Order: sequence, then C-alpha cells, then structure tokens
Amino acid sequence: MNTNDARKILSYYRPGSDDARDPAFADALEFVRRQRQNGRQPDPEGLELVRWFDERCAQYSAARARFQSISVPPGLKEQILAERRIVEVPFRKKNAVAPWLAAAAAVIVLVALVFLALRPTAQPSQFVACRNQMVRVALSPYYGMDLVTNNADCVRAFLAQRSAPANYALPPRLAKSQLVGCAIEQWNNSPVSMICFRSGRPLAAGDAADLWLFVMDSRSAPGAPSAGSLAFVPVSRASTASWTRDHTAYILVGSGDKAFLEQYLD
Amino acid sequence: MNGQSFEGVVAQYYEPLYKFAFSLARTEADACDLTQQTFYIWATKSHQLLDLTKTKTWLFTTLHRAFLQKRRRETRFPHHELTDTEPDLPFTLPVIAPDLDAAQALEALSRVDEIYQAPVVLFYLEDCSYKEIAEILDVPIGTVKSRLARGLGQLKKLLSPAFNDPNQRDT
Repeated sequence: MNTNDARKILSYYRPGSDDARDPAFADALEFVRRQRQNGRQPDPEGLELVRWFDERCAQYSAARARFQSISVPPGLKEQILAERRIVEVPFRKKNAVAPWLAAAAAVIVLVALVFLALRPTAQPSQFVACRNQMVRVALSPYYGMDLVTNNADCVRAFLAQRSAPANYALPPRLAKSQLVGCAIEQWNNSPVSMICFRSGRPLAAGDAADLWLFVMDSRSAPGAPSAGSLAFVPVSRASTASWTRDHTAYILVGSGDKAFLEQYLD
Repeated sequence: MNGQSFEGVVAQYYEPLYKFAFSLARTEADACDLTQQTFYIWATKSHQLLDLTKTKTWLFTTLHRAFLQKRRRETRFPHHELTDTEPDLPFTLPVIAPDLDAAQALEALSRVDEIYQAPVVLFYLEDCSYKEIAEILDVPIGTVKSRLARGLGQLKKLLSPAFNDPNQRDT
C-alpha cells in the first residue's frame, strides 16, 4: 500500500457510513491512520494524503448534509399506513353494490352477450387472442414478476404450488439462458405460467427480462399450432414462436426478430 | 407479512425512500406517489421476499424501478451502458458551496445525465453499501463506481460556477 493506492481506494470512502466497517477500505484507512501518527518523521506524501483525506471527508459530509436536509412532508407516514388499510378492505365490503346498480349492470351484460352472439363470426382463434394478450403482458412496463430467482427448481415449485403449469419442457438452448423469475397470468380462467429470461443483450432501463415463455393447457386456448409444428408470428414490436407438446401450448416472446428467437429453439 | 410488521417497515424506511424519490423525481407529489406505490407493492408482494435482510434493498429497488417506469411513460431516454472495464475513472467530489441548499443541489443533479443520477443520490443520501447500491441498480459494483465517477464529475462541473472561492480544492 502506498499513498496512491490509498488515495484511489479512499476516493470511494464515505465517512459516517458503514464503509468504515467495509474490509475493502480497512487497509487504506489504516495506512492513513499510520501517516497521521507519523509526526516525528513527517513524510511529505503522507502528510499530503492526510490533508487530502480530511478535506475530502469534510466535502463529502457537507454534500451529504445537503441531500439529507430534504424534508419529508408531514403526514406521509400516516397516509401510507392509511393506504394499507384501504388495500385490506374486506372483499364483501367492496362488493356492497347498490341493487339497482347491479341490476343495470346485469342488463348491460345481457345486451352485450346477445350482441356478441348475433355478430358475424370473424373472430380470431382463442389462441391468437391469447398470444396477443401475452405479448402485451411481456412488453408492458407494468408487469412484475411474482418470483425473482435464477433457480429453475424454485420456479417450478412456485408455479406448481399455485396450480400453474409447472411440468413444462424447455427447449435445451432456451434452458441455458439466464433465468430471472416467473409470474402467473390468466387466460380463460386458466393459469398461464410466464417464465422470464435474459438473452444477455443490454436491457433497456427498467427492464428485467427480454425473453418470456408462456405455458398453458392447450385446451384453454383452442387454435394453438398442432403438435410437431412451430409458428413464428410477429406481434407488435416482438416476435413470437408457438408450439404444442403433450397438451401444453407454449408461446415464446422475444423483443427481436424471428432469427433472434430461432437461436433459442431446436 | 414475513415476520415484519407493515408499520415497522414503513417507520424504518419511509423517510430515506422519500428522500431518494424526491432526489430522482424532484417534486413532492411525485416523490409521495413513488413512496406510497413502493409500500403498496410491499404490502401485496413482500411475501415473495424470503431473505428479510434484503428488505431495504428490495424497497429501494422497487422504488427505482417504479421511477424508471414512470420516466419511460413520459419520455424514452437513451441508455448508455458502461462496461466493467471503466471502474478506474478519475473520481473527484464536487464541492458544494456552504450556501447551497438541498434544492440547488438537486437542481444541479437534475442536469446530470439520467443514468448517473441514482448512483449519485444513493452515494450521498443513504448509507447503502456499494454492494447494496449495485443490487438496487442491478449492475455490477464496477459499473456503480464508473457511474459515480462520471456522475460526480458532471455534478462538479455544474456546481463549480456556484463556488467562487478559487482557493478551495477538491482533489
């Protein structure tokens, strides 16, 4: 350790914080302490280091004090706690809808059902609608993973405990990608497992994943590709690859082109 | 709730979280929203956190992500990833003049590149270890240090006109 080493290490040191107990700083702090005590045989470089260190600590403390002086609005804590109580309102209370409102809603739903039943049937298949929905989920900035982990067994156990598809077969190359977590979505009242991966490409700020595999019972979304076939379809700004195996439908979504997805499929 | 009472977690972390939020968003309303949103997510999803020692990191990470999502809705900003090969950038602290208050310091911070703001705020505001800052920002420690060096370098340039004493040094 010399003065240059100490200065380099201590340029990241924050006085008054846990850095004092961080082993990464211990040797450099000890070096400064020795220089400070070396009064009988003053070393110009050592003295300069001590002066620099003291000045730097003072600058840091002054700046920190400015940021720490941000005042917290009175009542914020109470507001947060009150919001929690709103979250916990029992379901039956939220359900206390006026009878006339419920009747009106029922009539609207009935009219809507009749309208839908009488419409010409040019609807996309259930699977296409499901695939579009899952792409929206994947690309939405608002989705949150229910479990964040890189442990594949934990993901399967988590999904199985919640009755979501957990006995899925990952394409070998996808299985080698970096797992980051999972979530459970719904389609036609059936759980859809969403397994999130990172491709290794730089992610946009705020993104946690850029490859998502959705797994569902193929009966919940009729119209999935038949067993043995693989369908590539671009949806929005993503690409999708879909296939079926053992009555399980798979949708792989990636923010890239078809070639990007192909590298994860066999 | 994971053996920690909601009230206890709020009492311990709402102030540092608010200060972090305010430093990033710079308006009281947005900072309150971000803080409340963070605790709302904690109330509904904290059962997923198996390691209670990570509570602070989890809360700061959640707030930072909420802020980024909010920003993405407002405007897309370029994301410049620094490589891990740049941890040895010159590292100097900006001199914040004694008469400069928090509002002026935050105003200067707002003109620092967005990607460097959160590391600088965490560096000054909260006693998070570098490992915790790396976890909150989801980048390696080397990248944290690179971003700090650049962010503090920019802050220093922005604050230097406000500092009139030529005898002051910050080497």
